[in-house]
Amino acid sequence: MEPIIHIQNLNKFYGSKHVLKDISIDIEPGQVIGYIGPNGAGKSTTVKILAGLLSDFSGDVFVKGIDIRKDPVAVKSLIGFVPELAELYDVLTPNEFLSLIGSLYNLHEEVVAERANRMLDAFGLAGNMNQRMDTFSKGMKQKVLITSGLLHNPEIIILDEPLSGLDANSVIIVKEIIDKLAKNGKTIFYCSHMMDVVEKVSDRIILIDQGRVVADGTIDELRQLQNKDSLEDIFAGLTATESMHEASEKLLNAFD
Amino acid sequence: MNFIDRFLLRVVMFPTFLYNKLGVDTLQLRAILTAKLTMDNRRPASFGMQKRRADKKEINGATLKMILSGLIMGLFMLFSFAVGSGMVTKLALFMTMFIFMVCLTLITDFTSVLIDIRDNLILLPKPVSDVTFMTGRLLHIAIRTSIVVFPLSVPACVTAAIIQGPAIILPFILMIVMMTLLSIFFINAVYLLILKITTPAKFQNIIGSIQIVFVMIVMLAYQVLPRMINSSIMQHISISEIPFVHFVPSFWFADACMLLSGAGFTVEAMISLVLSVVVPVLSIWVVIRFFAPSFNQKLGMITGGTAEQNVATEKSGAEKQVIKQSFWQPIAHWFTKPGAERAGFLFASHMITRSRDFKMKVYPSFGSILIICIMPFLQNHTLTDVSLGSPKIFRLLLLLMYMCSLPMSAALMQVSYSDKFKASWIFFVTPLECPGAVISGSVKCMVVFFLIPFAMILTLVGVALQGYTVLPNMLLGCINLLVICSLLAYLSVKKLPFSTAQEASTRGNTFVRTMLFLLIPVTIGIVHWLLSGFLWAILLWIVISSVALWLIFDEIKKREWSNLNH
Repeated sequence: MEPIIHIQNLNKFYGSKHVLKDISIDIEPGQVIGYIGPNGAGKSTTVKILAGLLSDFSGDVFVKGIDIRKDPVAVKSLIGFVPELAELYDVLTPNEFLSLIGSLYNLHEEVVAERANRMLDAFGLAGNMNQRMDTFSKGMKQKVLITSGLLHNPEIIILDEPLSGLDANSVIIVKEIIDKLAKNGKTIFYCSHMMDVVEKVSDRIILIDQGRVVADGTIDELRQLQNKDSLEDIFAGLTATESMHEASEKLLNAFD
Repeated sequence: MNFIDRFLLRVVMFPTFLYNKLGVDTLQLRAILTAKLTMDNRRPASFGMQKRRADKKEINGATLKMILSGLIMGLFMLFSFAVGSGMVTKLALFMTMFIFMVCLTLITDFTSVLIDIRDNLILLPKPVSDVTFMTGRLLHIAIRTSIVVFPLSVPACVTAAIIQGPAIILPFILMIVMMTLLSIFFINAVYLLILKITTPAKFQNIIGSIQIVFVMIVMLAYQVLPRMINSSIMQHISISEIPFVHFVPSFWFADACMLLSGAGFTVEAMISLVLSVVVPVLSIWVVIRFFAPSFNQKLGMITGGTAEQNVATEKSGAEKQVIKQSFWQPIAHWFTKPGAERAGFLFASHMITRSRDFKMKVYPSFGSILIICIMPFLQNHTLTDVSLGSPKIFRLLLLLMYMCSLPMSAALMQVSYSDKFKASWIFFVTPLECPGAVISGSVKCMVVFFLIPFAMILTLVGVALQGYTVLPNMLLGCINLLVICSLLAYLSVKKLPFSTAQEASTRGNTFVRTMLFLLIPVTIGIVHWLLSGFLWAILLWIVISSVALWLIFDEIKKREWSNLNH
């Protein structure tokens, strides 16, 4: 099967800082990818490139056979993006915000209204549709953001820390959404720090550290490879420069 | 910390002995005040003219800026000494303005600076005694208030001393203190009132609106007051002749101030003196005794808990939500094509009516054009002085029409900026082929919102005063105004709406631009006036301008990603 996302020798510099080093990943349609790594590993940069936000990189990025640099607009219409930090124009109401997003995806007004209505209802926000978001909690904003990313029924969904700020029930809803979307053949690129969730929802886990892919496989493959049980331990084993035990020792020794 | 803060800190920390006696931990007190003053110094300058900046540039020296702008205000208020007959009138006028300014300046400070809810999280869990905490808070309020009050009153104090002799200085200072206490009472009362009639969540918006009105009033005063000095009525006005003036606090203060400086004893002045001392002291007692207890808790809801105020209101899935149609939706349908352009129009319509940042920067300049419109009529005393059919009125209407492009250029320059600029990622991740469509939509929205009402009113006034013959000229004025503004938009709006942080560097070249923007309407306006008698030329020009308008908007709409400054 032809990969839906094809990344070959991706390199990216910020000034002289080399943040992505020869990343090569092929993703099949319908896969749920858990993309993990420590802070500053290059996760967000990869996501930004895939979402068409950055174009000054070297290497190839193809989405469904389309070169992202040649036709970013076509690629953007295939992707639904839920960014990490809930930055939104919060003087708008969810209804107004989603109709803005819908128009930018060239969706018909009635379609947007219908979908927004149903999706927000599913998140328990039906009663807040016409309230300005400046009074919303972080979790409520995050729900609106997730809705905005799914509104145009995209083939590929990029979720950057989508669970931050959500309460336990909403986390369950989002996890189930990811499952169901995957069953419907959607490809999901899931970036997160929450190892337990990544472990549960992902078919395949890609771990990057300092701009390089250091592990790539199913959770079982990674377990065997590292001889460790939980993803948390695998993560620590691959990315930590010194043992966590030592770090906590040092911290407590500061009192001496 | 700068020298002012260090000085202020030294002054308030001077009575260490007293603090120790009260049981205050002076080391902690100093640490608390140092942190508070440092934070104040890094806050955007208050005084109504808040300009938010990008995080890139650290704000420093806010205190100094506040003192300087206060001094300028204080100098400006000296005009009161040029008005009216008699010192009481002059002082009363100054004191009215003083109370007004102090109230408006402190009203925004009180939530964000003085009653900082973070105290509850940071200071209270630490081993800080209540008395230390309260002393810290009171001293901070005192410092902050004196930073506002001092520069506002110094120029007037000096002037009063020059006119009346040095005997007035001490009474003046006493009255300033009393007025400040009264202002604090007013602010507290306003806060309670707002909290009574609205939810804490809306509180910030109301305070924001007060700020906008404040800026508009300052601009109005700037326009109107200097002209008032020249009018003969103002020269001879005497405040004590005005009925019910004895109920106005600033009159008591002025009267008492004069009495204490030895201006002669009257029973009336004595009553004023008693009132001017008793009322502020009583009111501050009311604040401490009745307002304060429930107050902190309520303010906590404003600053800390807005997010929790709004919980998801569950409604059953079966019940279909009615989606609120905005007032702008049908208007957007008339002026824009569906898709990105309409989205841009609706987006801008929501932002310009709601974004506090935008309103603060743009609305006052439109307020000033309103004032300029009214000014000529004020100066001519009454409209009947000029015959309604005279060419003077026609010229005035044309002039006003073209002048509308000035505040519009200010608005257009602001449309790309927002303190929520980071939220503009939505334009970059969506398949937006031509960003020009969004820009064109938002420019159209601004034209519809700001210009069309103005142009329509002027046209109606023109027709009402001078008959239908004036219609072609007014119509040309309208279309030319639209052409000028769309041209300005074409030249200056090169970013997506509300997508950029306001940076200091972008303001540098605004002078050249403003001059250019001034020249275009003036030139076109003069040519229009010269040709206004030739109907055929006007009609021809209407056609040409309409085509030009269409072409310019088409160009804006075609603007591509590569042509944007991002």
